[in-house]
Amino acid sequence: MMVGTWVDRRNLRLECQSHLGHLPAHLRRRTRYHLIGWFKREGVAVIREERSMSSDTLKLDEDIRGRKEEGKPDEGKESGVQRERRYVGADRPRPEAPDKVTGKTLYIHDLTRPGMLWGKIKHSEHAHARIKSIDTSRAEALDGVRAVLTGYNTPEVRIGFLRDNFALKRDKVRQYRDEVAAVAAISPEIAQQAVDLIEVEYEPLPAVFDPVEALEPSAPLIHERDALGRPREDNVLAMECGHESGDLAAARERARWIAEGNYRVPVIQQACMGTAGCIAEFDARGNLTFTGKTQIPFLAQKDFNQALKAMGLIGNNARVVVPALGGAFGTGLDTHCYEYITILLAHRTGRPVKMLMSREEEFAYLSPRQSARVHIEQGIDEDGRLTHRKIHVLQDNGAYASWGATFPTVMLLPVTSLYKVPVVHYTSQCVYTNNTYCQAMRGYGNPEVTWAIECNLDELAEQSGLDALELRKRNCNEPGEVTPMGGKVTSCGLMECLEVTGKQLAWEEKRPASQAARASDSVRKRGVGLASLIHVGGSGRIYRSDASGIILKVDDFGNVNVSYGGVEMGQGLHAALSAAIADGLGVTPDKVFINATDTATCPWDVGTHASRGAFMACNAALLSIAKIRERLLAFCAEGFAELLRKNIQTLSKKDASFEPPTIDIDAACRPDNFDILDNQVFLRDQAHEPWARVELGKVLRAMHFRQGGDMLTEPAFYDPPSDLPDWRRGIGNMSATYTYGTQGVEIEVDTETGVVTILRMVSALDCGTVLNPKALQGQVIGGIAQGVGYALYEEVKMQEGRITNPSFTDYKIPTAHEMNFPIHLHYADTYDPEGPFGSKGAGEPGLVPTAPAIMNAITNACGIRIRSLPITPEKVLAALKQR
Amino acid sequence: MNPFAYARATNLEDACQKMKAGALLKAGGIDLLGRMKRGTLHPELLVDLGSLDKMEGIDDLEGDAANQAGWDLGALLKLADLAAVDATTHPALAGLREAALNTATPQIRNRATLAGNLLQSPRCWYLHDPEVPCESKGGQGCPAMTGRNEHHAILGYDSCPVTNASNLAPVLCALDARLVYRTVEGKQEEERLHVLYTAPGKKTGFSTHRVPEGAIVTAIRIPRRDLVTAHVEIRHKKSYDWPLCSAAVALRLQEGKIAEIHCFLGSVAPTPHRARFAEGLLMGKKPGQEAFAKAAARELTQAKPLSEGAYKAKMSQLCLTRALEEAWKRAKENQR
Ligand SMILES: Cc1cc2nc3c(=O)[nH]c(=O)nc-3n(C[C@H](O)[C@H](O)[C@H](O)COP(=O)(O)OP(=O)(O)OC[C@H]3O[C@@H](n4cnc5c(N)ncnc54)[C@H](O)[C@@H]3O)c2cc1C
Ligand code: SF4
Repeated sequence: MMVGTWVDRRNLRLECQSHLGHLPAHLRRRTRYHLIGWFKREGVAVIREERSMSSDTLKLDEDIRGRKEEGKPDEGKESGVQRERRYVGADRPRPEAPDKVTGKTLYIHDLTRPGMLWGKIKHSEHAHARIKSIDTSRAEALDGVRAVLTGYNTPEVRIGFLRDNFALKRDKVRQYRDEVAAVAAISPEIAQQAVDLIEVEYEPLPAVFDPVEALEPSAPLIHERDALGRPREDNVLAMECGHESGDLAAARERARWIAEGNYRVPVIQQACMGTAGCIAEFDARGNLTFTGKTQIPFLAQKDFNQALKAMGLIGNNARVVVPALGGAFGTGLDTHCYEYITILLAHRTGRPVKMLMSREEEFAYLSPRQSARVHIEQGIDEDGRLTHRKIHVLQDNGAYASWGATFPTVMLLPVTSLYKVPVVHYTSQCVYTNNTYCQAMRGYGNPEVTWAIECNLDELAEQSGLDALELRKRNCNEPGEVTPMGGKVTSCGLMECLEVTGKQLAWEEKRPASQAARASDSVRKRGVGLASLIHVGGSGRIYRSDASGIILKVDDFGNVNVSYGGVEMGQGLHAALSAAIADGLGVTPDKVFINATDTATCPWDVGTHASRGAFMACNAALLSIAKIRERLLAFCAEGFAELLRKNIQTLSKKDASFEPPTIDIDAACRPDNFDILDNQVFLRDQAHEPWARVELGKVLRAMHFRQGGDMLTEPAFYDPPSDLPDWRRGIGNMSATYTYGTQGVEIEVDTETGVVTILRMVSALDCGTVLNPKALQGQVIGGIAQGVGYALYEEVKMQEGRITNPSFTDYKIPTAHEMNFPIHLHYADTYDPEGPFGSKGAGEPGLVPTAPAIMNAITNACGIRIRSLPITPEKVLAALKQR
Repeated sequence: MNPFAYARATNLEDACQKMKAGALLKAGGIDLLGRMKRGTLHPELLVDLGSLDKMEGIDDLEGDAANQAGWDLGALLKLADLAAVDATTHPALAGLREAALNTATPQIRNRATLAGNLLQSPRCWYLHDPEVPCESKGGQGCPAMTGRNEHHAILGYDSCPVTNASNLAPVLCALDARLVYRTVEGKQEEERLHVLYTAPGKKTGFSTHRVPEGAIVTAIRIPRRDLVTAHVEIRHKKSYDWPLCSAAVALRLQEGKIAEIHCFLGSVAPTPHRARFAEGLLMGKKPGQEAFAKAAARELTQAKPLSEGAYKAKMSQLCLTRALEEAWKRAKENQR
């Protein structure tokens, strides 16, 4: 027997007696977890593990690192220096937390401007009707009213990516929430009174509320013409997204078992704590400053500039400023009619105008998450390997197109890439109805289709008799894989997530035991279930540019002022960014100041979506930091020796026992001998000598206040290595890397009442290096709470297009009582080569697999299968009765 | 919200004097302010009872121990205090305690009052939406009849199938509680709670109770303490929600048989629904589990659920069965 040595990606050396030769290629750059798994499978026990710092072990990494851009800083490698991580990876409070908990944070609700007016909107009273007349005379006559606008006395402002919506409607309304008139007044009460005085005469039109009915040739047309004025023939949106790879007929032949089903998810509300609102204000030159709740300041700038043009303000600019947000969850991904109306009111009155949504208004008049109907068929062969996946998605878009209509593009990822599936046929259709129009929410299409995929997989397991966890393991994704859509899997910890979830749930005992107990006559039945996820982890390219810019400005005192165009909305972006900058540059996080997001001062960013915030911001920051360090250390090579001599002089004066160094200081000031840590610049080989370190601010001042002085301000622009997919064919590596995860749950069903209680949950997430465990815990548990809401409680209920439950008394979100169960959190031991410090996006995944995991557990407990969310007691009882 | 005047009452006299046309009483304000904010209620004046601390206690009714005289519960008693009553010493209050303990949320229970809870507006999402007209709001027809009606009545409704929303009402009705109130004329009156509740409709008008306008409820009187109570409910969410269904039972045993029984169902009708059929089947009997289930099933055979309400019949039946079993068990324990 020989002794073998293997080194994992984090330089952990594993030594054991072994008959094994070389490390198989697929295990290169893998973690201890994978290596040990491999040893075990090969029958080898690990003898010794130790940290190794020798540089030759890094060779294993080369193939992957070779992909990285030249000069791109990497963990531990900036300026060729092995660096220590102090803040990244540590539990740290968020920088914005003290202001939030002491009530100092200013949200849009708190902001006011001198002379500000209040806006209110008159909404449609019909789901589909022709506007015959609008009488605003009584509203105009009301004291305190400054402007009354309708589609007839304002320029036409078209909005939406299909340009099918209008800020103020003319001729026709297509949904209950349609904006027909608006008022600006000196108080919100007067504005509301004026709105109530507006009289609109309608001629009701036949309406359609069901997407299947909307597809029928006899269905009323929601839009008679498209944006270019061409007549439309049906209600189908002009968008194509699908995928076809492999021979479906042959795959069906190969399949030993096939499961098929129709799954549904309802419309749900993002339910942010902070409701929406904005302030619009024009300067005397006709430029707009817009302060409001948005996740896309730069795309909003583009949209508003287009509106300014339509308003005749040609060449004028919209500046978008984002105040502190009380959550966004996708509500801020598009621009909204109320925002354009506020702009129109501000322009008409020449005064700042504020519009604020109440909770009920937000429920009734903003765009919720889109519903979906998914038809799915999956097959497995004799060995339990997936043969094919065929999916058709029908989406009720509502009356106008917003980002909800593009859910099928994000669905592409789980449809083609969740587990290894060789043959994929995917079609989608999005159809106009007279329901409320929908847009983005956390996860964006992913939970909708993962619900179908993961439930259907359990149905396959049930059919074939194969264990549901084993089935997933056999089809588990792996690093190095290229998925049918062309997704390049760089790092992947899904196997670890599956294994840990199984172990934590005691799957091997509980799953069969619960199944066996289904037939017992006990009223309360328990079960375990699980489901997995894949999500974009390195941003998601859905726009021509997927980049993020950043500017770091280091002042004379060693403070780092950061201008970044992404939005902190409660997810912890600033916590991650300040830790990354602190570690990257060598300052303490309290020296990092992140400016308010403002299109006038921050460089471009496509928007805060697709779990991209920390991934993009930290990567951009590392690019900028590399330049700053290079320039600073270059100055040190000239000027540091001088500072050290002064240091030595001062120390000698202060302390009689101080012994001046005997080494050659000029020689020690070699470019590669500098480092920065905790706001101090020092000589690496004299790191413990007090004379060899100088406060960063001092060095910066020395650099600044001299002949030909200089200061450190460095912009950087990071564009991730990904492709804009060809949506029609569904091909393209849309993200620089992918995040994986598995959630498991144990539940109890009261078979008499139909009430489902969650007993405990496991969440195993593969998001690479954890940047801030505390912040991530908040993200994951928050996501799970939304997932639990999706699974068991939430639904925007509509009657002929009108929302019947527009308040928290009737729209049910989980409370602390519903979340009162233990959650075991696990993070897979992975390191992503493209991620900052090895990390991948983790913002959205929390809610993706929760609902199917819960449903799979319910099936395990009592044999019923409900295919439409939410799983209410009514539905459970009905399903139990049918059984 | 429309502008309104606000007056804080210093004592009961003062409150009575302040009440005039267009004025509304505010106790905890949970129901009232919610409706004002939604724009379905526009009082000109709010008379706040909040500081009348005399009406916040539980007093023993006068009478000798032999006739088992009950209690006066102060109208402004907080639900949280009701949830803390000693039900072991007083099995009559056990069901009331359970009903209070599960209501709404901890924050609301610390604010909401007993009278406010009993007189809160009924459940119907159309009623609370200022944009939707219906006959109860002076318009025409009832959108719930053909629309979304999962929370609506399955029993005892006429043209307006709202449901009574109070968790405490069924058990108080089962205890034959009385509302003690003072009319605007200054007269003190007492009336049985379950008689005061009415189903809104064209014939009866659209109020859900017959407490005279402007009258101030001062106490809820539980006449006797020799009944044993139980309250069972099914909730979708454990907090920040109303129950899907509930049932309350009060009974008294004599020689091992049911000598007196009162059953009321919550969340199924515009008023707490008296389960007369079940009562009739069980009176004078020494029932077992099967008899309870049968009685409950018989009661719900009259259910007329709307399109989304069928589940309620099943759940309500289950609540009643469980409440009967529980009350029976408690009564037997209590005899020992
Ligand atoms: C999220 C949520 C969940 C809830 N869940 C439940 C639940 O599970 N079960 C349940 O029963 N309730 C529930 N409620 C309702 C809540 O319990 C009631 O709104 C509350 O008890 C009302 O009491 P209050 O003192 O605040 O009444 P107020 O709002 O002050 O008054 C209510 C009504 O009673 C009248 N009134 C009050 N006091 C007197 C008096 N002394 N004399 C004459 N008239 C009077 C008022 O004029 C008003 O019309 C819930 C409410 C919310 C918001
Ligand atoms: S149930 Fe009554 S209150 Fe509700 S909509 Fe019908 S008539 Fe109106």
